[in-house]
Amino acid sequence: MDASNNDLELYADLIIQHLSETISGEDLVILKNWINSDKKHKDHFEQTREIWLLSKVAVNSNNFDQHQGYKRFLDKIKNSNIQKFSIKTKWIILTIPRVAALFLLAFGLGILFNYLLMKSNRIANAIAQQEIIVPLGSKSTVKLPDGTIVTLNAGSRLTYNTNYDVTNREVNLEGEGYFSVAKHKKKTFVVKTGYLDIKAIGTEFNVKAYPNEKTIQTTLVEGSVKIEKSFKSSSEKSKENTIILTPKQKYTFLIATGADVLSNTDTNIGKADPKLQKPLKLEPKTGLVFKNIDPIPDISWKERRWIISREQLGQLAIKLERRYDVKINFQDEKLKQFKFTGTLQDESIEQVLKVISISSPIVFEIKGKQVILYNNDDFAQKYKGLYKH
Amino acid sequence: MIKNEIDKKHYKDINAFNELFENYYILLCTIAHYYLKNKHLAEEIVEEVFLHFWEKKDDIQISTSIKAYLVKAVQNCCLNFIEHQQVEQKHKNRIETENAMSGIAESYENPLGFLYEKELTLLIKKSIQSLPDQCQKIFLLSRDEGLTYEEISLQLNISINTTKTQIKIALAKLRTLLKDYLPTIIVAITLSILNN
Repeated sequence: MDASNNDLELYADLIIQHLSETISGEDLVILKNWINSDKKHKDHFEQTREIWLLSKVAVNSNNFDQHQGYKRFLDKIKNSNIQKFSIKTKWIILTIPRVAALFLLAFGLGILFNYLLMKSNRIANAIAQQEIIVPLGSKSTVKLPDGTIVTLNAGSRLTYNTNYDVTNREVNLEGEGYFSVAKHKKKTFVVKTGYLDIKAIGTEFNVKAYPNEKTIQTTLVEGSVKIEKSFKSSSEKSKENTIILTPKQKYTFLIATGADVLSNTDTNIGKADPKLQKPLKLEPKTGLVFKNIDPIPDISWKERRWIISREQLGQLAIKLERRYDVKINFQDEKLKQFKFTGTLQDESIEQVLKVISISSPIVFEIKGKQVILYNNDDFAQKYKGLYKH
Repeated sequence: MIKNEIDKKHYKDINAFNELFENYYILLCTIAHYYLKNKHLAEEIVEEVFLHFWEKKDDIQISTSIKAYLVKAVQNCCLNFIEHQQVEQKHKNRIETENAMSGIAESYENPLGFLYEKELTLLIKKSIQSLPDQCQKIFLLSRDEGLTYEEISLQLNISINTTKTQIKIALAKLRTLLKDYLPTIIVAITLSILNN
C-alpha cells in the first residue's frame, strides 16, 4: 500500500534533482520513463517545473530589469530601421518589373474589353449607367473596361457611364474603394466623391467616402494623385483647391464638424510630424495632408488579414457594422473612446467582440443583427487605476 | 486632455511593447538564463526576440498567445545558440549535461511559462514569505542563490535529508496555494492591448 507513496517520494526527489540540475544520467532516464508512463505524472511534473520556474521569476535573483531591457530594445529598433530602409528599396526595384507586367496584362485585357464594349455600345447607341453595389457584410473586386481594378468595401456603390474609357475615365464613388489604376496617358482616371475629385494616371490608392461619415479620406500607395475640390467654396483660399499626394501620404477632408479627424489618421511611421501631436482644428470643407503615414492599416480591409491600428471603438464599430452587416449600439457613449490595435483574420463578429471584451471594460450582447455594448462595471472598478480619462 | 490622448496614440504600438516588457521580460530572461547560465547573454537573446517580434508583428501568426509565442521563441534561440557554440567549440558532450528546462520536452498543453501571469509572481512571493522560517530559508537559498542540497546543508549545518525534505515541503505548499491557478487555461491575450 505504501509502495505508491514511496514511489511518489522517490520521484519528487528525482524531479527536484532534475530541476536543480544535479540528477544523474541514469536517474534522468528513470524519471523520463515515469513521466511518460502516465498523463497524471506528466501534469504533476510540468506543474512542479512551472512552480520552480515561477518562484525563480518571483525572486528574480539575477536582477533582470525590464526598464533597462526596454531601453536597449528601443535602441535596437532605431539601429535596425536604418538597415531596413536599404532592404526595402531593393525590394521595390525587384518588384517593379512584375508590377509592370501585371499592368500590361490588365491593359491588354482592357483594350479587348473596350473593343467589345464599343461594339455593344453601337448597338445600344445610348449612354447608360453602370452600377456596382456591394451589400453590407461583403466585398467585391471589379475590373473596369480599361483594366483598372477596383476593390469595393462593404456598403459601397460605384457608378460609371458606358462611355467610360471612350470619352473619359470617370467613376462615382459612395463608400470605400481601393483603386489600382491602369496607365493611360491621354485619359485621366477620376474618382468623383461628393466633394472631391481624385485624379490619377496610373497609381494605387484608397478612397473612403461613405455618405454617412463626416470625412473623405484618400490614401496613396503608389504613384501620385491630384485632388480637386468639386464644389465652390465660399471662403476661397487660393492654393487650397488642388492637392497633390505622393506615396505614403493621406488626405483627410472634413465635410462637417463632429468627426475626430485625428482619430485614425495618425498612423505615422517612426518620428511623427510634431504638428500631428497637437489636435488640429479643421474647418468644415477643408482638408489636411498627413505625411509619412503607414498606408497598410488603411488598405488592409481588402485583404483577409485586416489590420486595425490605434482605432477608437466608435470608428471601429462603423467598420464592423459594414463588414459583418450588424448594427452596433453603445449603451454608454464613453465606450467609444477606447482604442484598439490588432489584426483580424477570418474572425466572426463574436470572436472580434470577445477580443474587445477581454481587453477593455466592455461586455457585449448579440441579438440577431443587433449588438449592444455595455460598460463592464466590475472590470472597470478592478482596473480603475489603469484607465486615464 | 485631448493633447495627451494624441500623444499617447502616437506611441501606442511602442506602449504595447512596453507592456509586453513589463509582463514578460523577467520571465523570458529567467528562462533564457536556465539555458545559457549567463545574465548578459540571456538579456541579449530576449531583446533580440522582442526586436524580431516588433519587426515582424504584422506577419507573424500567433495561434496560442503572445506569451507562449515569446517563450517558444526564446527557447528556440537559446537552443540554437547552444548548438552553434557546441559546433564551434566542438564540445559535443556538453549537450548531455541535461538542462532543467531543456532536458525533458514539455507537452503541448503545458508549455513552459503556461502558469505565468505577472500578478501571480506577487502571490508566489507572498507564498514563499508565508512558509515556515527554516523552510523559507532553505527554499530561498535554492531559488535565489541556486545552491545545491549539499551547499545548503553545509551552509546551514543541517543534513542533506532535511534540506531535501524542506524543499519538497516548500514546493508542495506552493502547489496547494496555487491550486486554483493550475487547471485554468490562461486566456490567449491578443495584441489588442487596451490603450487607456
